Amino acid sequence: MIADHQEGVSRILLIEDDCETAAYIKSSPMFTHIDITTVADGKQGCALALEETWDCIILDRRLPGVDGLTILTTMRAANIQTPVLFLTTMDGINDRVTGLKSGGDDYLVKPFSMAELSARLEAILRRINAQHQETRLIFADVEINLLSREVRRAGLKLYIQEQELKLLEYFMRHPLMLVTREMLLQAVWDIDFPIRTNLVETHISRLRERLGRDAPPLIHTVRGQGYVLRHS
Amino acid sequence: MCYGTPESMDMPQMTTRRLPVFRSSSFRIVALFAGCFLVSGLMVTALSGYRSQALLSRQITQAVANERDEAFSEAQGQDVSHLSPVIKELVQNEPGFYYLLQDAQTHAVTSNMLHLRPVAGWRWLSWTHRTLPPDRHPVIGYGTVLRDGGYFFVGIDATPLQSLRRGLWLTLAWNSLIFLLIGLGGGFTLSRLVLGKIETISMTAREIMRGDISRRLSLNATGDEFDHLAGSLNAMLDRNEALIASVRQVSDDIAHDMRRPLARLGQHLDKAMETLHPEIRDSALIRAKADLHDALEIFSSVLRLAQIEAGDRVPDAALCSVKNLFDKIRYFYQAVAEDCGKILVVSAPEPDVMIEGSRVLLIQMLSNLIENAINHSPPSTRIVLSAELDKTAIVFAVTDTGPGIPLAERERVFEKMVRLDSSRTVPGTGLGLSMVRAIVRLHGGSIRLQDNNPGLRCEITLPKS
Repeated sequence: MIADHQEGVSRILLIEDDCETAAYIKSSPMFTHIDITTVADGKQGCALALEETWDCIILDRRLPGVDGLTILTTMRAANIQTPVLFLTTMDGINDRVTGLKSGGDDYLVKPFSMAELSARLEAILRRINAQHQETRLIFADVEINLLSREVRRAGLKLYIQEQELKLLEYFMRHPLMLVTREMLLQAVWDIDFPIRTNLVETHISRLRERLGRDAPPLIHTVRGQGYVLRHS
Repeated sequence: MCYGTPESMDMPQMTTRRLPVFRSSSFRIVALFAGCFLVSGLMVTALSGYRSQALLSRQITQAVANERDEAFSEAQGQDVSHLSPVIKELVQNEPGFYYLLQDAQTHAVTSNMLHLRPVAGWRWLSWTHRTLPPDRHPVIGYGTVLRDGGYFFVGIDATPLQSLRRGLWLTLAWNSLIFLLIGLGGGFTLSRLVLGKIETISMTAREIMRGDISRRLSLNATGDEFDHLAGSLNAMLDRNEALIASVRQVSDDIAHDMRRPLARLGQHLDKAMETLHPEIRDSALIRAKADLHDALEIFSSVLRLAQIEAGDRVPDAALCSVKNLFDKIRYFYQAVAEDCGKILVVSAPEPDVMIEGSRVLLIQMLSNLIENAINHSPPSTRIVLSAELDKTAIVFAVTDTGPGIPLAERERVFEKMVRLDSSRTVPGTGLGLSMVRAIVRLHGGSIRLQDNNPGLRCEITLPKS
């Protein structure tokens, strides 16, 4: 669930011509604390993006009137640095690169899971909230010191490999949230093609072991969906 | 959705009429060229004729002037009485010249021609002014009005000069006619030749538009500009045909391979709807979601493969360190291999080698090979990733000590959706090796599978940056 990052509620502009997708996002329980304004038309969306102040803009690429890429380049040309997350069906080899090179902050391909959209949005909102730069992450009795890369559980120092540490950090940044295999592949290993080995499962299993077999489990498997970091 | 046969599709209006020769560009060019050639030919002929005529004219007038001066010199006085005996003698002794000496009353005193109106200077006389019987020769001569009112004229036959002039006009006329005929004839023939070739190209294009996309323009093997054009158009048609085939293949693949997970999805949803037990329903829904995930994965893999196969240049190409790529593979798969009881050895080249290509695609290429080796081999298999530097190429090798692939199947495994019977139980879409081969080809390299005795050796040769 996304917490409020600034005083008041985060304002997000969702420019999406598929009304069902827009309604699905707006009504999601994950975004109850966010003020989402939806627009279906490219021209209207572009005008709103230029005229009002937003914490983040979720932008489809194929839109009636003005396409998403043009909206983004228009915004950047007008020196509007509002973060933009592309939410699109265009997943060609060059599409992602073009979207990010044009000034997009993130790129999520449809169909998407609400958990992934929520996680990415949270990451963007956290980035813009630079004054709250974290040096420590704490969940239950686990603590990560982000500066020394040291992990402690119940005060005891744990020896954790780099990949397991990245995994743990990702879970600690998204506590209580459903995290899918694809989200982990992209965030920890930077892989966006199908993987046919137990890459994620292997490292989750190792991480669980590092966190202690006898201690209460924190990383839980949600069958058929992914994993979640929560108390037992 | 709208379906349409090739006949019913909107096609540009095509004319089957033959192209008219006289409106063709080639005819106009040849006609213009012939026109320029005609004008320049006529100018050269006219100039040389004029020069010849001027030369002859000067010679004739010089002869007349000499005769006149000689007569005056012998007579020692420029009047009729002094000139009369001299002219009489000249009339008798110089048959090539015409003489007229007449008094002030225009009565001929001594002459071999009729009297004239006393006009001084150079004169051109027609045959009517001559003595009888008329010889019909034109005369050019010089007339002098004498002191006593008489008139003296000496002239010469001007037939050669007149013939030269006539000949010149005749030559100009013939030249014009011949140039015109050659220009028109040459233009017509050339245009027919050019139009014939263009019509052949046009007819082939129409046949291709009607649906015969395998048709190609014929080459004459003369290496002329039409061969060059036909070669370029054929290359373009080859590329288009390959793209169309690729699109067709993608549609077929998607239609065929999505059916299995979608059918399973339907079955699981049916089960979820029919059951009264919440546990069975939840389990069926989870499975249905996994089926949907599989279907979407096949869909995106087929599209990605098609994009790589249709591409003619490497996207986002950059210089990549082979050591760096190998580190990434070790990072991904070392633990996975260990957990499966297999040994992964990544042997990076020393010193490091740079390769030009798409980092993302090269990582996917190596990942797919390593995943294949991990998934299709028994425990304790040793998997080795290495790279060797050749003079012009970098040779990547992934070897394993697993069961290998029978010789007869080695080419077939690169085909899309092909899964050998021995690998049916292992998860996969059957696109992994197709993807590897597509990435290798996109980078201008080659791939081959060999016996590792025991096991399989997959060798990829990529050009050095």
